[in-house]
This record gives sequence, C-alpha cells and structure tokens, in this order.
Amino acid sequence: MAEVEVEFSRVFMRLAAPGQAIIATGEFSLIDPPETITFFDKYGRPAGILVSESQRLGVFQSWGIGTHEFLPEESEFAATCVFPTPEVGIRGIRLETGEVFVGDVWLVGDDGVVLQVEEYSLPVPGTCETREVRAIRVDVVGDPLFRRRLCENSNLFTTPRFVRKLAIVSDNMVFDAVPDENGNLRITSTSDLGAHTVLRIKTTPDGIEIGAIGSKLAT
Amino acid sequence: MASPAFFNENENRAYPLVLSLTGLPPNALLVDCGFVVYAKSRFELSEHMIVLNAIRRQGTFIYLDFTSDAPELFGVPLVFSRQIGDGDFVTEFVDSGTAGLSESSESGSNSDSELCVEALWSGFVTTGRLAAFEALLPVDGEIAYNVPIEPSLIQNLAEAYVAKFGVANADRTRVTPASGCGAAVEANDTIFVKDACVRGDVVFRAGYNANVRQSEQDNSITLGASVGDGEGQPCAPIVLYSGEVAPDGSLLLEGGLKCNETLRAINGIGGPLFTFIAGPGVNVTAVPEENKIIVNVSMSGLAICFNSISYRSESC
Repeated sequence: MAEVEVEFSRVFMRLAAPGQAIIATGEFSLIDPPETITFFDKYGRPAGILVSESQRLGVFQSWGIGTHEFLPEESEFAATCVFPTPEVGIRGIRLETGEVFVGDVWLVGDDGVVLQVEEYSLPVPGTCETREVRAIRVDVVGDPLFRRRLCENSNLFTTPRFVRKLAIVSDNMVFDAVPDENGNLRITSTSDLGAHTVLRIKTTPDGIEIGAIGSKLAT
Repeated sequence: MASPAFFNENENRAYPLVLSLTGLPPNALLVDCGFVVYAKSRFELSEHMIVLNAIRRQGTFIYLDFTSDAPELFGVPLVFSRQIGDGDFVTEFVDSGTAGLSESSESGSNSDSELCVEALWSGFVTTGRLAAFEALLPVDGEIAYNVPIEPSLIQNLAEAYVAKFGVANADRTRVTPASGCGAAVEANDTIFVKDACVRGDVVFRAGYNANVRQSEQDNSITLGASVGDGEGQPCAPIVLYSGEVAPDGSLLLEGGLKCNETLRAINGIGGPLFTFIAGPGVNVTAVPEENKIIVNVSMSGLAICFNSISYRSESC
C-alpha cells in the first residue's frame, strides 16, 4: 500500500511495487464504507480486491485530509494475497487514442486494406531452424470505386450506362466497332473505296465533324 | 498440498463460503475452493459473485453446482461431483467450455472455431466429510442454496489479456448495375471472416504496398502503406474471401467494366457528352428511340460531277 489519499467524502488507496510507480488504485466512499474495495490498473482493468468490513474502513474517517504515504516495509502485503500475473502474452492492444482492447480482438480490413492469415516460417534465433507460426498479412490494394462511397447517401450515386461499342451499319453490312485497350475508338476516312475521297473527319473540342470537301453550289 | 489441519479448521467454519445467518450448508461439506475467471467472462469483483447454487444427489453421485451472475458466466455453471465411497478431503478441478479442445493447440494452428473456445472460468473444490453429504441427502434430491464464496478466492483475469485475434475483411465497394443492366449485387456492409481464431505466436507481415514497423521503445507496431512497399504492387486482384469471383458479365471482382470495355473517347476526344457535327455535304440524323445516329454523306449543297452527265463549268 503505497499511499492513502483521504478526501472529504472519498478515500483512494494506491498500490505499488518496489521500484515501480502506482500499479493499481481503489477507492471507496467515506460516508458509506463498503466491505470490499476493488482495485483497477491504469487501463481500468481489474487488479485485485481488498476484503474488509464497513466498520473497519470507517476508521479512515478519523484520518486527516490529504495523502498518507507508506514505506514498503510498513505496508507490505502478505505473499498469500498477491497473485502475480504472468508476463507471457499480450495483455492488451492499445491504440493511439488510448483505447485498450482485450479478450477477443477483431482486426478488420476496410477501405482498400485486405487482411489474410497464413502460415509463416519464423527463423529461430541462433539456429538455422525455423518454426511455423500464424501470420497476419496486410495487403494495401485500394478500393477502385471508393469515390462512390463518399456520398453520404449511397443512393446519390447512380451508375451511368456506358457506351461499350458502336454498331456500324452500312448497306447490308453490320459490324461492331469496339474501343482499344485505352477505351478509344478511331473513326477515320480512307481511300480504300475511292482513290480521291472527299470525306474528311476532323476533331473538335467536343467531338468530331464529318464533312466533305469541295466547291459549294452557286446560290 | 494444504495441510489437513487447514481443512479441519474449515470443517468448523463457513469458510470458503461467506458467513451468513441463514442458508448455509453444513460447514463440513466444503473445506476449500478457488476459482479463476478468464478474459471473456466480463466478471467484476465489485458487482458479481460466485455462489454455491445447489447440492444434488442422483443415485450414488453428489453434485455441487456453482454459478455466477457475471454476464458471460450466466448459464455456464461449474459442476463438481463426488461418488458415495470417495474419500474425505478430495480435490477436483473443473473448467467450462473446453470439451474437445486439443491440448496441443498452443500454436494456434487449428482455426476451427469450436476448438478455439476458451474456458470462461475454472475452479477447484475440496470437499470435506462424505458422511456429511450422506446425512444431508440420504436419497436423491436437491437442496438449493445461494451462498457466495469468499471474494478473495476468486482470481479475476477478466480483461487481463488478449485471448485471440479474429481476422476479417469488410466488403469492397461493388458496382451497382445501371438501370436495366442487371440485378443488384450484395450489400456493401458484409464482413467476411478470414479466421476467427488466431492464437499463439503471431507475426504481422507486410503484403502488397504495406510496411510493418516495430518499436521496442514504446512496444508498438505500426502498420503503414506506401506504393511498392512490402511485396510490391499486386499483379492480380486480391480476394476478400476464398472463392470470391467476379460477378456475371464482368472481369472485375467489384463488378463493372474494365477500361477497354467502355467507349471512353473517339479519335482521342472524350468526356461524358460527345458531339457529332455534320460538315458540308453530310447530314447527321439522330433516332433516339432506336439508339441510332445516321451519318449520310449526301453531298447536299456541294457541286458534284456525275459520270453520265458532264457539267462543263468553270466550277468543274
């Protein structure tokens, strides 16, 4: 028991280990003392319990307001009261926001991040051997259509109907003109059927102009 | 092992049960016990208890039922059993939810969700004199109790560690077909579970366009992204779940059309609206109801020469 802080209506008990800062804190009402005091660590996780009686804890009402500190030799707990928690294993996942996740923790890939689980050969330090462990693989592949989800109401985006090909009909011939690998289609005039074609196709800022060259009729 | 004297002392007092004026079983029945509640139990020492709920007899078997009011322990009792003829001061260990769990699963290699079930709580009970049980229940029957055990006999590991990882992926944004172009695809809020039980030693590995940085100073792992990091850029689509395929009519997992499957430009001119302009001698007629554009090189307005008739004019 590293220190006991007595306020007007509450008492705070703080536990520590030699060479360590406060590791657990418990508090109780001075007006209506309970029979047990539950301790929590700095992440809010259970860290033990102190069993007493209301009458015994009421004694703190006679303590002066302030913080009362104790030396280790003055307030060391009996060994039978201490249950050391093994260091092995992950005891919590903490985010930068301060949230701590315990128990079953779910990792969910979203917005272009894909998570996979695979077997992985982990080298054993100091040897040439490896051992198999589970690996969580993180792939960042993007979400090509993410902009469609930026709308607050998904119904705001309406999938357009794309033109996929031009069906060219000429006399009795019908053929499909499809775009190239870049989605571009070329419409040109050639001299295959006519040595001196007058047909001209030129581009404009918004499309193409199909016309013929030659003199215009006198008006 | 505790000295029998400790058990003898407990024969004459309520311990390990909390002393109360009424409702206690005979002191000699129970001389010691202890319980451990694990990470997912949601047990809080300030709010919840473990109680001796009942003592039952069926034939030659005596059962001690312990229950708890913690959210995840409700309905998950620990039942200890004795048989008439067992000795005195016998200790039994029991846990919950571990039936069928392989003892060699420490590597976490088994992703079967049933085998990944972790015990919610466990405990031991040391019974006292079997004769006391026989006297209490000489024939089949049940006596209900609701006596809490001493809180100091409960080791609370709730929220004390990470039990396991579950790995899943949210759905990708999928194409909603245009009106009249096909049925709607599944909703975008689906979560696809890759593995519900990743335990043991776990490695975070950088895949495509990813990097993993570890710091021992602050005991942190940073998962980052940068084009070309990790295993570089993917050459093939990455599936969210095993067996994911592109929807009908599409080559892409998210559906829709590839770049070369749509007409994006004509003669290099693109945009949502494309204009056909009729130049001299050409008529462009739109037939919207047939989705048709007629380009007729009619030569109207232009001076032309026909083979059968010669127009001798300066214009020719």
